[in-house]
Amino acid sequence: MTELTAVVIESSYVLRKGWVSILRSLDSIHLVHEFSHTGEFIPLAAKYHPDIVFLNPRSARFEDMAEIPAKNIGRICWVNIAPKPATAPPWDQWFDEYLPMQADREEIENKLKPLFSKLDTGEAEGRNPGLSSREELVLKYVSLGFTNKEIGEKLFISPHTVISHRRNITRKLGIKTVAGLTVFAILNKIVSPADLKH
Amino acid sequence: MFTADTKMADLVHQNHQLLSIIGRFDISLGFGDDSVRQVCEKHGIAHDFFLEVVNAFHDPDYYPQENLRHFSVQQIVDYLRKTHRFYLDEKIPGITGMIEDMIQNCYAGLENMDQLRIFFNHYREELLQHINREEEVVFPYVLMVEAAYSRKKLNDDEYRQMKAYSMKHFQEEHDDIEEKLYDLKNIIIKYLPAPSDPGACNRILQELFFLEKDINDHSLIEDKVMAPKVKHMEQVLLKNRRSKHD
Repeated sequence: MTELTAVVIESSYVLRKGWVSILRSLDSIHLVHEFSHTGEFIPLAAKYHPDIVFLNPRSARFEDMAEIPAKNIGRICWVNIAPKPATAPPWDQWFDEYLPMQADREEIENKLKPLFSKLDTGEAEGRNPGLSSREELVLKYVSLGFTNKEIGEKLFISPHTVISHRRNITRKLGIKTVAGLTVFAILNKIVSPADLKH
Repeated sequence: MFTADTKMADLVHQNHQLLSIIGRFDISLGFGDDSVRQVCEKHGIAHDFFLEVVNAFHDPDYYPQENLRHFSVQQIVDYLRKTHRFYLDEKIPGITGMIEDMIQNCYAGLENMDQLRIFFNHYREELLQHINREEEVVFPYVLMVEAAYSRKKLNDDEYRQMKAYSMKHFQEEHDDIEEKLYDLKNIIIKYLPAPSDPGACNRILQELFFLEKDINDHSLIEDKVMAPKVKHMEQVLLKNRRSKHD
C-alpha cells in the first residue's frame, strides 16, 4: 500500500500548524511537509514528491505553480485551504477540493476520502490485508518493541490513537500478541530480523 | 449434554476427542455397555467431576453447575496435574517436532522462517512458566485449604499463607495462555505462503486446534470449578476463625 506524502503551503503559522497536525492524525497520510509559500516549495517539489498538496492561494504565486508540470512529478491532488472560499481566475480550475477552515474532522475525512482512494492504488497489491499505511507503520514500531507512548511521539499522534490503530491491526490480521505481530511483520518484510531489539 | 447414565461408549462415539481426556483419568477402553457412572465407580473417580470436564470440553456453551460439586479439590488437582503432564510430555514435544519438519520440508529456502520457531519457543516458555506457577504455588495452596476445611480448623501458619496468597490472587493473575496459539494458527492459515506439503501444515493445525481447545477446557475447570470451590472454603474458614477470635 502506498504511503501518501502531503504538503501544506500556508503563510499563517497558526493555520499551517493546525493543518499539519490534523493531517498527521489521518491514517492514509504518512508524511507531512510544510512551507509558508510556493516559492519555498517549488525547488523541493521533485524531492518531496507529494501526492497531495494543501494550499492557501494567498500564499502562492501562480507563476510558481506554472512550473509544476515541468517538474514531472506525476499526479498531485490539490486542496484549497483558503479561509475564504472565493477563488478568482486563474485558481478557479486548479483545485480538486475545498476545505473550509470551519470544517470539523468528519467533514475533512469525508472530503479527503475520495481523493485518497483515487491516489491510493496500492490496495490492489493485497499483500497486507487491508492495512492502511499508518497501520503498517504502527505495526512496524510495535514489532520493533516500542511502547505506545514512544510510537505516538514518533508519529505525532496520541498514545490513544496508537491504541486504536493497534486494535484495528489486530482486528484486520487476526493476530493478538506482539510476538505474533512481529512474525507477521517479518514474513511480510515490514521489519527485518536484524532490526529487532532482542 | 452427557449425564451419569450416558453409556461411556456413546460418549466416545459422539466426540472422539474426549478419548484424550478419558485417558487422563486412567480409564482404559473396553467399556462394554457400562454407563459413565459405572465406569467412574470402577476407577474410583467422582462421576460428577468427570462429567464437568467432558461436558465443558464437548459443549462450548456448557457452564459448570454449582450444585454438582460432590468431589474433592484433590481430584481436581490430580486431573489438572495429569493435564499438565499431557501437555509437557506429549503435545508440546509433538508440535515442536512438527513445526521443525514444516519449516524444513515445506518452506525450505524461505528466509525468515526462524521467526516461527522463535515464536513457538516463546510460547513454550510461557506455557512452562504458567504450569510451574500452578504446580508450585496454586496446587499446594488449594490442597492446604481443603485439608484445613476438612479439619474445620485453620491454624496460624495456614492463616498466614492464606493472607499471602488466595484464590483472589489466582483469579487476578490467571492469564490467557491461548492467545499465542490463536496467533500461530492464523499465521499458518492466512499468512504463510502455500506449503509444498499441505498435509504437514494441516496436521500442525489439527494439533493446534486441539491443544487450544484442551487448554481452554483446562482453564475453565480451574476458573469455574476449582476457584469457586476453594473460595467458598476460604470464606467458611475465615468466618469460623473470626467467630472464635471474637
